[in-house]
Amino acid sequence: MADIRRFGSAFVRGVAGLACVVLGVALGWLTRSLEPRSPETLRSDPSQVELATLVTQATEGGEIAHEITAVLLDFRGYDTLLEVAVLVLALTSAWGLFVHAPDRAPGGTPSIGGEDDVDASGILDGLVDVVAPVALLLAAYLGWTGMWAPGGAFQAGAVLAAVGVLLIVAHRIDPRRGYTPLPDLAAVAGLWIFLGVALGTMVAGHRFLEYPAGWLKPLVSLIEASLAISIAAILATLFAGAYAAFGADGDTHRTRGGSDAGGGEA
Amino acid sequence: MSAAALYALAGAALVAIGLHGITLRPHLLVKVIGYNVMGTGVFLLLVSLAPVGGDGRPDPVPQAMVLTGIVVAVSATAFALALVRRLETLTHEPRLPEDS
Repeated sequence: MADIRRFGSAFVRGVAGLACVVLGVALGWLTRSLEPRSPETLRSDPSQVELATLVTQATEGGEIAHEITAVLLDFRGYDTLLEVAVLVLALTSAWGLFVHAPDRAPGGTPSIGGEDDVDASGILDGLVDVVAPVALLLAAYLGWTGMWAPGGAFQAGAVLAAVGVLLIVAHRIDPRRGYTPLPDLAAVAGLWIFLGVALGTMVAGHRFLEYPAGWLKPLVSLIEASLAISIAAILATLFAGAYAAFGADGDTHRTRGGSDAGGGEA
Repeated sequence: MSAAALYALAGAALVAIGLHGITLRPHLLVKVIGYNVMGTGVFLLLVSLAPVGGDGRPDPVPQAMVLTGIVVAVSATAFALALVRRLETLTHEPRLPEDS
């Protein structure tokens, strides 16, 4: 149904309408000055190499006879790949709007600082449901691929920490709940395992931190895995402590008795 | 005036009409339709300005770009409609809060 209510003052409408007319006229004038070149001009002047001619030459006798398909999937395949990604992104975004919306009333979930829940639309919930598992997988891959490609413990730990921060911000993890030893254990595990390996080599007869031959890969893998978890626990706990103490708006909030800056990293 | 020039002028006119729909009409569905009309105008401009190749066939590269653009515009319209639906569920009015 058409909306016939007027929008804004007459002056605003006039200026906006004039701008539209000016844009249309300017575009039309541009097109008049960009008349496509005729085939005779192209044939007579060899310096006028056209993209179309190049495409025709590249597809002649090739496997894909249709030029547009060849351009779409062969020469400009990257554009088509990104276009498909945009399609999936649009769907995921629409999902995020409606997947969790009926379950959460505006302001229904407890917020960290006591203010109203800002995620009334449910977009953040939908995003966390999709992003968190994928990011966990990505962190595991980054940690493992560090053996032969850029990656390793610190990159994996950073991604894991980001997952932790996302869960805290989306109220899946509540730092205000009572103290649990798990995040602190995870935070120091990396250091203890690294020290254990370094001293263990001395017990086995080698020098401090001198990996014995043949044990390098398993020991380094163990160290990197525990380091990644430790880094994630430390960073997420740091963020959780600040978030619990200061809330989402930056003001200082009084924390409940018994729960200090120890965070809840599940 | 050749057919290609006529199409190009039509594309320019569509861009202007779509811009009018987006900026001057408060109803959200009209804005979405205006966005689509603007997109159609841009596609028409791209295709009509495609230079004719040496053997008389039009340039396939802008046509391929327009194909991609149509798909992206459709998915963006779908998401825009989802947003309009969600906003209408929350505010019970198919317009932005500042336009009410």
